[in-house]
Amino acid sequence: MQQLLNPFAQKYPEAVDSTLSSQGVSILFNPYGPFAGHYLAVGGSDGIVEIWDVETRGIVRLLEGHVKAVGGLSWSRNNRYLLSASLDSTVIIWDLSILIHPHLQPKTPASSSSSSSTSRLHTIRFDAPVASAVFHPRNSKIILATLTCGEVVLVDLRDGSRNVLEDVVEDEEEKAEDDDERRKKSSMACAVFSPCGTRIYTGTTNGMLLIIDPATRYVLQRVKVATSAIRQLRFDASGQNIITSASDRALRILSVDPLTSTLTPLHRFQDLVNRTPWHAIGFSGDGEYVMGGAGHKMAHNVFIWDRESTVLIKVLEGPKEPLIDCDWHPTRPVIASIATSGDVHIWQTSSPDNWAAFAPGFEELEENIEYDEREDEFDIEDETDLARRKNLEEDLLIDVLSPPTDSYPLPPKPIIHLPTQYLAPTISDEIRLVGERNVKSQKDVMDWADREPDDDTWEGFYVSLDLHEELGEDEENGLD
Amino acid sequence: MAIPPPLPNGTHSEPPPEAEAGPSTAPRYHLSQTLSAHSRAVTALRFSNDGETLVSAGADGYLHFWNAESGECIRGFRAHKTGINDISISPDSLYLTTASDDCTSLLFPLYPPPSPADEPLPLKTFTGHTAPVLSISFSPKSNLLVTGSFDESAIIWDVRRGKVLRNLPAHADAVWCVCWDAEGAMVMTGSGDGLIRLWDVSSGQCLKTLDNDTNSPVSYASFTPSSYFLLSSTLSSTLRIYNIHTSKVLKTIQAPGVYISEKYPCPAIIFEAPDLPSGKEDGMEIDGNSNIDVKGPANPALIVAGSENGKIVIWDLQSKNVCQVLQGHLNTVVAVAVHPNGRIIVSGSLEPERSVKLWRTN
Repeated sequence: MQQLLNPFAQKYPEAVDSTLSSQGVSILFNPYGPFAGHYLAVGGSDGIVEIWDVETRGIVRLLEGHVKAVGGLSWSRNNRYLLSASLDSTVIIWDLSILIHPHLQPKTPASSSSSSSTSRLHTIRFDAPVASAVFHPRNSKIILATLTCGEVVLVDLRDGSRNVLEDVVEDEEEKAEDDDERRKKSSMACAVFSPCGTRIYTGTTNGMLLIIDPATRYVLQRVKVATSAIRQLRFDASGQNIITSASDRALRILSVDPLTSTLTPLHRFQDLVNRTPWHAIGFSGDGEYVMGGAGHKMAHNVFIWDRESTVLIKVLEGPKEPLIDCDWHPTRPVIASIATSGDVHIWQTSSPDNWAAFAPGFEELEENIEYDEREDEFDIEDETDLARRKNLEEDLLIDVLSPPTDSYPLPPKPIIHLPTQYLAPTISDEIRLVGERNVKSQKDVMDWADREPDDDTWEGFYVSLDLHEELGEDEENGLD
Repeated sequence: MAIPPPLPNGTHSEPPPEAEAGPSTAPRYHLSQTLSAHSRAVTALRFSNDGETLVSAGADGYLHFWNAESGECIRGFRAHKTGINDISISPDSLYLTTASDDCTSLLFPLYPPPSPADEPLPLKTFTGHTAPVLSISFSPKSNLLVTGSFDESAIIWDVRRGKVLRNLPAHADAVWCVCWDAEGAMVMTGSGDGLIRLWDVSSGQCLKTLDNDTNSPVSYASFTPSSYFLLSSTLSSTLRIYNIHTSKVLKTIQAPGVYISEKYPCPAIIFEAPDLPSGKEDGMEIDGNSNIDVKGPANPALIVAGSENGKIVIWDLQSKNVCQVLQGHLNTVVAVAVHPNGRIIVSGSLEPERSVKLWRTN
C-alpha cells in the first residue's frame, strides 16, 4: 500500500483537518502492527479514557475507572491492552477485547481466555499521583511507572513485585557515602523502556540520563545530557534515536547504539526568540522529522524540524488555546494535538488527486519529453510465439498465500547475536568483549521479559464494535 | 511419471517435475450434501471466520444460517423484499450485512440473542445508493463497509454511525465487486467497464487502475492473502493474477470448454489446499540453518470458480492446471464459498435449482 502512494507527497502535516470534541489531557496513537495508527487513545481531565477510531472519527470505547486526570497512556505490543496512568495514584490496565454486551463475543484469535464482562483488567495503586506509565514492549505484565514525587517504580504483575528504581551500579553497592548524597539531590523525572525492551532510560532532575537493566535493576550507564532537569524522553520507532526535553527549554537528539546503548549527542533544538518550553516531543513515524509541541500561553503551535539537517521546516499554527500534548501518526503525515479546552485537533496534509492513477499505464510528466519508440514496438509477433512466450513468462513461482509482514511498523528486536562488524579482525578484543557482554545481557533481559507472556499474542488485534448500543445525538450526526 | 530425456541443446525448458506433481497431491472433493431452504436461486454464500456458520442468501430475499459442519439449518428469515446480491460477515464473526436490489444494505447480528420474533430487525440500515447494491465487504477491522452498486459508484460506510464515510465515483459501469486489503488501507473495485481500481481509504484517492487486454467486464476481483497480488475474473472465461505494483499479469488461468464465464459474475476464491489425510509432514519441518522464521505455506494454492455450464472448476494456481471439475449443478453457478479450513466448498446456482450443494474432502 505504502508503495502505491505518491513518493513525492509531503511528509509532514500542514493544517487542522478536523477536531474531535473531547476532554483530553494526553493522547497516543497505537504505534505498531498492521493497524498502526488506526486508534487514538485520549486520556481525559475527568479520568475517562476514550479510544477513537481515526478512520471514522468516532469513539469505539469509553473506559471509565479513574477519578482524576489521565496523564499517561501506553498500548501493549499488539494493541489488545491499554494502560492509563492517573493523578488519582492508580494505573489501570484495560482489555480492549471485551465487549460489555452479553451476547457479543468476538470470535477472533484474541478471545481465547476472556470470559470477563468488564474491560478493566488490573488496577495498580501507588502512594503518589502517577505522572506517566508504560508497558514493557514485550510483555504487558511488566509496567514502569513514574510518580510525581520523583520515584520510578517497576511493577511486575507476574510475581506481584514492585521495585523503586535507584541509582545503583552493580559493583558499587556497599561503598560511597557521597553517592548517597548525590542520589538524594536528584530524583527521577521520567522513564521509558527502549523500544526493544532491553533497557530502561530514565531522566533525572539534575540532567542525567540513566540506562538501567530492567532484569537486574542496576544502572549500566550514567550520561550527563543537560544541566537542568530532564522532563521528557521519547524514542523513535526504530529505537535508534532518543529525544529529551529539559527544563532549560532545549530539545536534544541523541543517537543510541542498539547494542551497547552508547549515546551520541546529535543536535539541540531551541526556540531562541520566545524561549518556548516544550509540552510534548516526538519523532515522525519514519524518524525523519522531530516534533515539539510548544507550551506557549497564547498559541497552539507544533514545531517540526528535519532531524538530519536540523532545519526548522514548519510551525503548525492552530487555534488560540495552548497545547498540552501531541503525537505523530506512526505511518502517515498526521499529527494529533490537544488544546487546553480538551479538544483534539487532527493535522493533515491535503495531497492533490493523482489523475494518472485513473488510467492504466499513464504517467504524469512535469514537462514534454521526446518519446523513444522501442525497436520492436509495432512489430507483429506470431500468435503461437506470443502464446508460448507468455506461457513461459507465467511459469514463475509466486507465493500468494503468505500475508506480507514487512508492510507495517513493528517494534525493533533485541540484538541476540553479535553484529558482524564486531567480528572484523581490526576490532580489539576489548571492544568485542563489551559487545559479547551486551549481547548476553540483552538475551537475559529478553528471557526475563518473555517468561509468563500475556495474552496479547494476536498481531492482527482490533477493537470490535458493539452495535447494539445507542449512539449519542452529536455522534449520530458525525463531524462533517 | 517418466523423466524426459535430457535435451542436447538445453534451450527447451521442460517444466520441473515438482510443478507437475501439484495436481496429483491436490485434495479431491465429492458432493456430500444438498441443503434446501430457499424458494429461488441461491445468490451468495459465506462462511464465518470462526468456521462455525454458513450463511446463504437468495433471490427470494431470505437469509439462511447453517451449521457449517453438519449442514443443519439453524434459522432463516426474510431480510429484504427484493433479492439479495451479496453478503459479508464481519471478521470477528459478530455481524452480517447484505447487499440488495432494493438499493439498501442491512446489518444483522450473526449470532443474535434468543428472541421471540422470527424476523429480527436490522441493527443498521445503509441507504445511499440509487441503484441495486451488487457487492458488499467488511473491512478487516469490521469498522467500515464498502459497497459497489449498479449506480456505478462505490461507497465506504462508517458501520457504527450507519452513514456514508466516502463516496467513490468509481467507474463508468456497474461496480460488480469490492474488497479490502489485509490491512484495511486499500479498497479495490471491479467494474463492468473492464477496469479494476485501487483506492486509498484514508483519503478516498484513486491509487491505481488495472485493465485487461480484451477489455472484458470485470465480474470478480479480490486481493490474495498476500496483498502484493490480486485475482480477477472477467466475462471472457479468464482468471488473472496481477502484481499490484507492476500491473503485470503473472498468471492467466483458463479451462476452455470447461470453465465458461461470459454473462454472470461468479466469485473465484483462492485458498490453501488442506493437508491430505496421508499426513505429509513437510510443512512442519524447520530449517535449522536460518534464524529468521521464513514460513512459506506448506500446501499449494488452489482457485475455485463456478462456471455457466453448471460445473465448478478447481485449479492449481502455480501450474494453472485444472485439478478437479465438480459436476452437480444444472445451471450457471453464481455463488461459491470455501470453509476457512479448506475442506468444504459450497455452491449455489441459478434456477431451476434452489439449493446449496456442499462438497467435502477427507
